[in-house]
Amino acid sequence: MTTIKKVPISNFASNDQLGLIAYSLNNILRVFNTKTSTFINIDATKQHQEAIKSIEFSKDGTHLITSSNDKTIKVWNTTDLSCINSIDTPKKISSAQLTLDNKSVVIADKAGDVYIYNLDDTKEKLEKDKKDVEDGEEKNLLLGHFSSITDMIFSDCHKYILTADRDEKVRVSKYPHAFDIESFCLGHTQFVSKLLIKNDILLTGSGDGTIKVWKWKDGQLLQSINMFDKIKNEAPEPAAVLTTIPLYISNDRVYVYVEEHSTLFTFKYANNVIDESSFSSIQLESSPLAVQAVDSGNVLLVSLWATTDTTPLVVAIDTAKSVVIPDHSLAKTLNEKTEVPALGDKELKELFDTTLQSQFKKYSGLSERKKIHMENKNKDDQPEAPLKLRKMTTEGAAEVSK
Amino acid sequence: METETSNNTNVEDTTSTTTTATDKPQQQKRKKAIKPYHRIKAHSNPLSDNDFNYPVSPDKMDWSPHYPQFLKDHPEKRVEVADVGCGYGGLTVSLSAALPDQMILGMEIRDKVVQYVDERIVKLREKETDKYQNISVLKTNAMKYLPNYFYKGQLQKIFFLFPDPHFKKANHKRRIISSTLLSEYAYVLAPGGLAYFISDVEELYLWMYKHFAAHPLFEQIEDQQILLSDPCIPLIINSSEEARKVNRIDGKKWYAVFRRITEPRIINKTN
Ligand SMILES: C[S@@+](CC[C@H](N)C(=O)[O-])C[C@H]1O[C@@H](n2cnc3c(N)ncnc32)[C@H](O)[C@@H]1O
Repeated sequence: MTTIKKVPISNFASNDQLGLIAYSLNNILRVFNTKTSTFINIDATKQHQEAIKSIEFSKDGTHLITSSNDKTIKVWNTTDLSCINSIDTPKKISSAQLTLDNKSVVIADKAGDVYIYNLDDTKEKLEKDKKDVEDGEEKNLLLGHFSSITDMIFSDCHKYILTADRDEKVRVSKYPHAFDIESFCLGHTQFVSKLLIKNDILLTGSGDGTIKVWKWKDGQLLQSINMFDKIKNEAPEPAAVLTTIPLYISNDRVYVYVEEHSTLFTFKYANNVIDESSFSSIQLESSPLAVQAVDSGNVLLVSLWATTDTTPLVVAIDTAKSVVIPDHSLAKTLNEKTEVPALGDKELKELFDTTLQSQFKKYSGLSERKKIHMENKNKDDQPEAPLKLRKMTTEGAAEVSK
Repeated sequence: METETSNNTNVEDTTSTTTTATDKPQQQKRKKAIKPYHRIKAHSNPLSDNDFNYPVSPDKMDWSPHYPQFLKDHPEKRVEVADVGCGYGGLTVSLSAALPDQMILGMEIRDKVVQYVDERIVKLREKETDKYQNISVLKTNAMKYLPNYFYKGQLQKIFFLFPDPHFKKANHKRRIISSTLLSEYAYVLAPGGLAYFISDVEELYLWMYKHFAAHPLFEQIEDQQILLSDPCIPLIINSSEEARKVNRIDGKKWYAVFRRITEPRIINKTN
């Protein structure tokens, strides 16, 4: 799939209590109030400059946080959608989260570092801290991976922070004492694409084609489901690389998306176990890229890549029956009322290429494990860019053996 | 890296991939002397191929080929000592007798160097069959894969001897000691476990010292009594190949030892 016809909805977030659904199309944030059935007006000058990467409500629903490819984080007040704060970051962002008190924002970047910024700090202080970071002072550095970070989430209690990387690992660090690593969840053999947490349980997707279920606190792997096996009968030619992305976990269902498949996969989920025999697939018009449960989890909104002019932006799924609801009113309203930014073919392709999922392709190409296999015979292979190493001699060794 | 190049049949290729700043003066020399006199052995060590495949997790690591005799005698034992960036293995080898009850692992990123140390251990074991059973070496990037090999709190000691200095500011991120990597070292170290580091480069020593001192899970051992009675101290100062090189030019060395603690220290960051 390389051609798309219009800008899709790439991120969703919702808050049932407030009745708000926030979503993004390229760089534009939209917020729909389901109680009044109106869009909340957002100052156009405050919108992001480039594609939005994540949207998240604060735990108490008072704030909304967005991160974007333009390397800024914005914090919005959910009552009137005024932009409270806009923070420039030095690196490309993988994920941004508000702390429980909404006073700070935690930002994971593609260089592998996680920083924390206090939102009350003046712009000058932030600038200064950032400069200090460049000078090696690392004042706001919370933790770091020696690898690109792909996703970051807080545990429900906010006492732990989980980070996933391009090198197969999920790290569980204490929060705020993130220098104290609680555990690693090790088992994936390719980059980890997505983290999803529900109390003690973590769900991960990966470029290795599996979905894994963990007791994250002690890094214990509970279950691993190989999506290759599940879909090999459906897809005539399953891709060599499958990126699995767990999208949503409700009380009794898990939804999974496999990159470049026009299908939403679902399993029953109870007592921390995915019931493999309950596997079923919901056929869609095109590949999904974001989902959001609304209506107390009874309905799942699924956004689609538009491969034809008539592909809807979003479809609604009945979570009890696992079927598409043909004329769901909310989906219908969103499809009819959402202004879709106009982009040329070239820009659309660019958007497609820079959207999260397709970026993973790059990761799978870079996977060390794979590389190691391929270059097994090349004995002088260095895993990273050339390391500058000291010259050493074995004269000392000769002395020792004497 | 004399040994590496002389062992390689394709000298020019090697130079282009592993040339280092300090190697420069030698580069010309090498170009003239392209006389491969030593073919690479089809590696004598069956482990090397496995070593390319770092384990997915510590559960998946089979240590028995590394310590066949030792594990036969003490099947319950695990690796407790890591020599990170072990180079030609001087420390790893001398720790064998100093810590006879513990399993010691040299970790090194350069293939040829790993191969050298491996052969060195094989020869030592052949010479004295009852000795050197508690040491081994493997190829890995210790900045990435320690948690793949070791469980939380598995190590009693971790050594960083004469690490690569990476002088350029842009390359400081590649230094083997940084605040974020220290969190990983703290993870693999047991409470009370010790981290040793030494350097002949004052700037690098100060960098390492500053980062250890600023990490809430490490506490410096300042008590001279403790340090004097630690059999590892003389070894970090004199046993490794780098240490001997520094001795020959009468260079200075700086070292420190930090303990892994469980209750985070409160650190006053200025400002
Ligand atoms: C200057 S040498 C010191 C060797 C030895 N410790 C000694 O004192 O003789 C540094 C060594 O660290 C190794 N090294 C550098 N980065 C490494 C990494 N990330 N993982 C494992 N070894 C590494 C280098 O290949 C080199 O052999």
